[in-house]
Amino acid sequence: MITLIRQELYKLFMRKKTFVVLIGLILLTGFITYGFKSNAENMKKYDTPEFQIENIESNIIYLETEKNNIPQDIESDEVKTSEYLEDLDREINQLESEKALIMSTIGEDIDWRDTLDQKIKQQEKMILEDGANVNASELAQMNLQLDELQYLRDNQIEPQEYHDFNGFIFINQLISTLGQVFLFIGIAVFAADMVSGECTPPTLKLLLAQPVSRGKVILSKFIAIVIASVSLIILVEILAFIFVGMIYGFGDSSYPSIVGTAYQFDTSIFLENGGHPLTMVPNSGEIIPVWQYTIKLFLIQGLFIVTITSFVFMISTLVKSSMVSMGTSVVSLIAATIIFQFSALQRLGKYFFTSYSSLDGLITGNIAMYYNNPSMTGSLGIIVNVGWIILCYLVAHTYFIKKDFLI
Amino acid sequence: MNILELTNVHKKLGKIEIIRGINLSIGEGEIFGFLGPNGAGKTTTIKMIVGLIQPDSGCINIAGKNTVKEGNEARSEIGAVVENPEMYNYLSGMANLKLIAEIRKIPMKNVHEVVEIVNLTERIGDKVGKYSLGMKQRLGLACALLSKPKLLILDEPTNGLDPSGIIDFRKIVKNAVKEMNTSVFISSHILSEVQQLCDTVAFINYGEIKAIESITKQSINNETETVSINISQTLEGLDLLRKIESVENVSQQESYYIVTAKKGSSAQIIKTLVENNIDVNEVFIKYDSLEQRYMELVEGGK
Repeated sequence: MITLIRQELYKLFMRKKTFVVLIGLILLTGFITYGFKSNAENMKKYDTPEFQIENIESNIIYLETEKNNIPQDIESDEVKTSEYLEDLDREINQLESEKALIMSTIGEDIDWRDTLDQKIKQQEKMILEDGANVNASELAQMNLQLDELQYLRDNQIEPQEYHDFNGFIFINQLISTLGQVFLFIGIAVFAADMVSGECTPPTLKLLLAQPVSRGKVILSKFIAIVIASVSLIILVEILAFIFVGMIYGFGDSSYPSIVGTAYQFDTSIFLENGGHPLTMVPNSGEIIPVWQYTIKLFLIQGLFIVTITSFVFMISTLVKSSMVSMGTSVVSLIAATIIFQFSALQRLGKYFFTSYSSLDGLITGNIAMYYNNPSMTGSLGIIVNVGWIILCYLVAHTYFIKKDFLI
Repeated sequence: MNILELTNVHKKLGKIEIIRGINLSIGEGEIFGFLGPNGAGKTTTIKMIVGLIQPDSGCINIAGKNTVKEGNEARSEIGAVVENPEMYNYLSGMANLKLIAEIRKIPMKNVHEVVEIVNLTERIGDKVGKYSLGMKQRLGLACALLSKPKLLILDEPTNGLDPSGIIDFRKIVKNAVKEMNTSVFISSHILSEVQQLCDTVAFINYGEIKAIESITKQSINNETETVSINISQTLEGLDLLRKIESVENVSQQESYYIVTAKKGSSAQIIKTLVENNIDVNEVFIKYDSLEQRYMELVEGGK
């Protein structure tokens, strides 16, 4: 059995296509990395005091010109006109003071710990003052935010800005992005000829004429393709993580991430369409360090890769031609992703693995928000994926051992 | 003990019954020819022996092991090339052989030996994709011989071989039989191939075995022969031919009368014609013994 698995891996890595897909993945990762980085740089530019001042100044200029453009319907009314002008003046004054505030911070080195302390105080004050007026869900959200701030202070971690870029931010974004489309197409191309490829040309004849049981042949092929697709994708990602980390730093590995948030419909509120809004279940979220989050993300991605591979593998077993196998895999995966987003089929969608391609949503629990369906949770996602793996393999196995090979 | 035994094997593909009750057996060291036109069921039979497809009913035993119940044990006794030898084109010839050697736990020494036997030593490191058809055939043969099997199954093995390749191939098979006492099952539609190589020949058509005959001194014992006769074509001549006692059938093909008659009766036919003052321009035996039998059984004696 081990000999067979090793042989399947050997055959797999002797094929040119394996390297084409691998190079494709590396290039794609490169492009995505570049995209993330330039995006972060753009955001950083908007966050600089100089840019903000510039922005405020152009706003002031705009308001000044508005003073000469008194709307026609109030032009005749002196009271309204003076009110209008007063409003504009007030706004301008406000902007001026904002500008002055930003000016005063330039060159001044404020310790982030002070800012953090201030934010915590503000949050505490908000909970104390507004806590009684909001519902339980909103209060829970406010408390979770406070927990996150306190976690930062307790662990002496500098809060990240939106424009920050480091190894951990990068890898988590990368995994979520690849999960959306690449995993479907990449694996469909990679695994589609695992079995059907041996029908045209029919090399399977040579293999099946040997004294090995068909069950072992199909199982070793399955194990080989699963090992190959999981390890290749994760290897490229880890290399990219190390590469980005070496250049831009890895970031603090214990930075807080909120995971496991559960949602429910708030039945006390009716929306215009007759439904209810989704709200967070109190005390459902949890704070974990980012290294743990990343490991979870890798694990869930690994599971998702195995599921897609099993699905493609099944099609590859059922179909004789590699081309048909690849086409069927790509089309059915993409179609399933689209079809189950229609509301009519959404209820069924949660039983189909393609609905769980938002890998980060499975861990944070936000998948329920994406589909507006509180029953879609991380654990359901795992169960559905495992179910599909078993189903796909059993179909492939049963078909393969009974089939008459007229190739 | 018989090395290969097929008992009342049936197989339907879709609605058509491709194999309609085949019985045959091959003894140790026997070279068995499986002769029939295209579409007769030769390859389907071989695929059932090798285990690529399963018979609907009946059973196939290889060295006493059932191909369905003890598939692995049965397959470990055979080396086979089914149709065209399909190898992994992106691997070298050696890598292909190694894959099989690993599965069958055959030492590398034997691999090198087999490569020498099929005369591929120089090109064995090249990718199979770059091989000629003849080389692929030889590599296929090497794969089949690798395990020194009790039964060697070859499906139209000389397809695509040039004349010298065919002679080499015959030598290799004959040597293998002599040295390893291997039984050989060769399917073919090439009569001369079977005639020169086999001890026994089975004629198959429409999924049935029409006859099994043994070949001695490269010919089989026939009861009839076909003679082509060119005489001045008159009604008289035709009548005369039909009247001869040993003649079974007469038909006309261009300027020749094709006469099917009892074996050894050609002399008598010529004598009768001459005695009746008919000019005989040409007389020859149309088919040799195996061809004769093949035409009788497979083409319905046309």
